[in-house]
Amino acid sequence: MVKVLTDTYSTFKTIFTGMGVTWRHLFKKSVTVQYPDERDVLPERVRLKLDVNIDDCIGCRLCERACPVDCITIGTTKSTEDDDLGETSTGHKKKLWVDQFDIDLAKCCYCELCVHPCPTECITMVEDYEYSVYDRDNLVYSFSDMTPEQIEEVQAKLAREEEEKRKKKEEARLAKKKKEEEKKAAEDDDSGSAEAKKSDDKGGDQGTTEAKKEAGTEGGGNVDSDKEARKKEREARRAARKAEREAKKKSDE
Amino acid sequence: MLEFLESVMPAGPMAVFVFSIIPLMIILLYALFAIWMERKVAGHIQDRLGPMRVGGWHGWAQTIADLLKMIQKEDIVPAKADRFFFKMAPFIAFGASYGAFVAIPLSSGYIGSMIDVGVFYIVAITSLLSISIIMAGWASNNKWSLLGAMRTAAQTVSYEVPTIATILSVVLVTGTLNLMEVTELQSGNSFLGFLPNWMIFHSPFMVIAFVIFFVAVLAESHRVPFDLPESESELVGGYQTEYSGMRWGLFMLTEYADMLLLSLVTVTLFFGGWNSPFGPFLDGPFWGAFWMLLKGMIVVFVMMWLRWTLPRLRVDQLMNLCWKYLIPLSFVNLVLIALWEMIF
Repeated sequence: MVKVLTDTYSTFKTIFTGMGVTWRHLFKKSVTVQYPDERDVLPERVRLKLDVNIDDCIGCRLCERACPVDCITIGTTKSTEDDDLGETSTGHKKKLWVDQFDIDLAKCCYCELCVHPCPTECITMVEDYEYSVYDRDNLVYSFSDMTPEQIEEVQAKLAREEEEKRKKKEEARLAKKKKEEEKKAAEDDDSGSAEAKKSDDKGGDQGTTEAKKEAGTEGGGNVDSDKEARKKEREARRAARKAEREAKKKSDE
Repeated sequence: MLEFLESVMPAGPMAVFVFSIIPLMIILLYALFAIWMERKVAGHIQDRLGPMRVGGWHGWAQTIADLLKMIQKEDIVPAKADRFFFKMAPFIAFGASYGAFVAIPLSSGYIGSMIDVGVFYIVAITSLLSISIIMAGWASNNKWSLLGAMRTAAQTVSYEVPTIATILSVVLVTGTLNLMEVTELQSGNSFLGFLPNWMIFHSPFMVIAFVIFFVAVLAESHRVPFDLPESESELVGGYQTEYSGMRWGLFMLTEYADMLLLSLVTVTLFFGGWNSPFGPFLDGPFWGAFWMLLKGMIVVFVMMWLRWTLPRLRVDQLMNLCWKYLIPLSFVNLVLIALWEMIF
């Protein structure tokens, strides 16, 4: 009998305690954040999405090397002597064309290890977390602003310049050799072999002069205006690409 | 009310039809509101918001959207089910629930039928509900459904005993089974002067009777903490497992209609029915309906509040509570109320 009474008492006591708790919570402010309408304030230094300011990139590949999941792919081409790529906003001289700067955000693990090595602080984490897409390929972000034609042009130019340099070197080497051989010939007085060498040199000479001519007509004409035009073109392309990316994003949504 | 309708309507059967459909309208509107309210109460008790989008203001149209969805859904009948009984069960369930509204005085001007065995009729016809649930569980040809149905049978049979014993104690005092007369007897002020002359203030034993009645009613309407027949977490919905679309919706409607019914019975028996709590102030047929539904909604709210507070009982605990505590207590209480009546 006593047990029944104490049981009854404790039952009601616990029920009313619980109801008191739920009553208090009924009028408490709810913790819900109604997401698309209101958003939580993000903490400082959130890691949500990688962004690259390609104008500041010097193509040093430090970020690519730092990435633990290899989600950054960078392709660079050396600039030729007649091109001046300018300086970054941090005062670094740009020497390489960055013809490819792809970040696969599907692979990215948001560790931010790529951000710290960057000497020009051009790769950063930005506060954008709404970039989900339907196709995984759309998560590959290309930051390079060069078109395939530009890349081809730059690479061809570099190849030509290198060829030229190589030829010059070769020429210098041959000239040196020739001198030496002439010296030797003067010493040894062996005319047969020297003749054969001479004919070889002639062919090489012709090639180099042609290459020089080509380079002269293209690069030498009007360097400054050419560069301006290219820069403008590049900017226009960048804008177009940005618009394209936006459109892609929109279509994804 | 019926006389008024007959004077307005050209045809007699038409008037009767409109007259009998009034509780249905109330049930449907109430169900739309109560399901939304249940979600809101659940949300805010758990520090959430509940539905917020549909319809603009705090998601008021959420239930309507759900209803439209449910109507469009496919009505699936399992291949091995007993088709006829499977399809019939939800209608019988709702019919039983709706049928009980006949004997409830919604206001001083409206009662479906002035039958002299009102409470008895309500107790009898709500038993039909458990039959329909057994029907649904058995016809589904599904183990979960059958288990749920059997639990329902056990639960309803057990809890009807304390319910009836407490109803008897009210009937002892009022001397009538007609709920309209029970309500009329509760009008005015009690001997203390300031409290209304409601049954709950009649004697201290009446409070105990009310508590027993309320617990039994919770068990009969299968609400938490006595929702073993449905128990989503262990029986995947119990007898509702195989139902889909509007048939399931009818079971849902029945559940809420049952809640309202039992709340109204509670209000009528213990809280003065359509009587105003302020004596003659704000009294009358229209205000009567308002007070009746307001009191009913408060009881419904308490049921929801309990649902989001208490955990579910185990089957043995359920039976323990009923047979070892409620039934002996209700009978002792009945005797004590009878003695109180004899002495005062």
